[in-house]
Amino acid sequence: MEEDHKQEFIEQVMESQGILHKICRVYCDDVEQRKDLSQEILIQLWRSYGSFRGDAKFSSWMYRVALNVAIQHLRKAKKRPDDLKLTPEMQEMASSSDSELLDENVKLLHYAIRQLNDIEKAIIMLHLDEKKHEEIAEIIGITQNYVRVKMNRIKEKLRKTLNPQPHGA
Amino acid sequence: MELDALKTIWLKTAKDQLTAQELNKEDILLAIEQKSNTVISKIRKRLTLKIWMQSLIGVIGICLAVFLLSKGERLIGVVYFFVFLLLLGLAIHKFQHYRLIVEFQKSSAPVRATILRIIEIMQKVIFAQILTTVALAVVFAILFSYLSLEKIDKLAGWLQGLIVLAIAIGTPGIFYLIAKRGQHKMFGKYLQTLREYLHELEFENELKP
Repeated sequence: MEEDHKQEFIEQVMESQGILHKICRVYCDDVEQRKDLSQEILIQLWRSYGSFRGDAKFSSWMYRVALNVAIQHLRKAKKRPDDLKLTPEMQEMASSSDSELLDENVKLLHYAIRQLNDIEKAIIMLHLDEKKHEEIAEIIGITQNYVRVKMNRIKEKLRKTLNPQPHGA
Repeated sequence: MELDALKTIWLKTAKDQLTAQELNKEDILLAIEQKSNTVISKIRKRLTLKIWMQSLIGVIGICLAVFLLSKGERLIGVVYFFVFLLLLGLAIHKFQHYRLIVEFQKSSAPVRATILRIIEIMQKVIFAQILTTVALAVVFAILFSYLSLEKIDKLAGWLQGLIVLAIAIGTPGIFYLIAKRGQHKMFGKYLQTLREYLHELEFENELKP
């Protein structure tokens, strides 16, 4: 019985493991931290699996548990947003739409997300994953109206990071 | 770069990431059999150790008190009995917090509710830790001062009583500050971060100028 339960859990996690990778990438800067967080999320998912009754989507439930772990997880030597500056090269990348620059754009995207705080990271990640406001509100535990307000703030922050105004403009 | 472009890049990256870092069944199985390392898990482990230690000392102490009482050492026997009974009581109190944490770790509540709950649990655990430190410090300070003063024949009974009373009044304040500082050093930063997250999730705060 326990073995069947475990197998069922593993299969469901395998199907939705993209969530795990995305959260680790967004919340951790280096590979070691990502490994730790990934393992911690899997442990907590397994511990909480009994509370998953199937009335919500598995992916929403997984997001909820994984985000809770990521937000609680203490990371070493966390860089403050102010410590990071957008280099001229990065600014150039931001204005380019060339598909050859996809890798650099990925770095830029993660750089921009890293400038946000942990709560904003969770909201933008769910938005980029094409979750509706209703689902974001349910996962985070706030109202849909507040999700809209937050999204506008986050978009504004990202816009400023990705398209910084030149000095004196 | 516009936000729509961000979404396209995000979805493309997610696919690439999955291909590059895909976990197999063995990886997942191995991970879930490991021990958790979150702050709340560490608190739970620390509590488990303290509960066992306190319960063990409490039971041994009560047995010792009973033995002293049977040997006719009435005063010291009664004092020991109440001190170790208090220790046992505090262990039971800690066990209640342990159960709170276990129950919390099995839940999969939304982020805001989870943060709120961790803050509540942490505050209760911190308060219990301070209470334990203060209670034990007071009991041992009174006991130690009483036994020390009893050996000094020159001191009058009322003076001995006054000194014990002064120690009983002064000890809680001093140990409250020490315990509070210790707890703040251990969990203060973490608790502050959680409070900031919670503040971030309160709609009313967004409306404030």
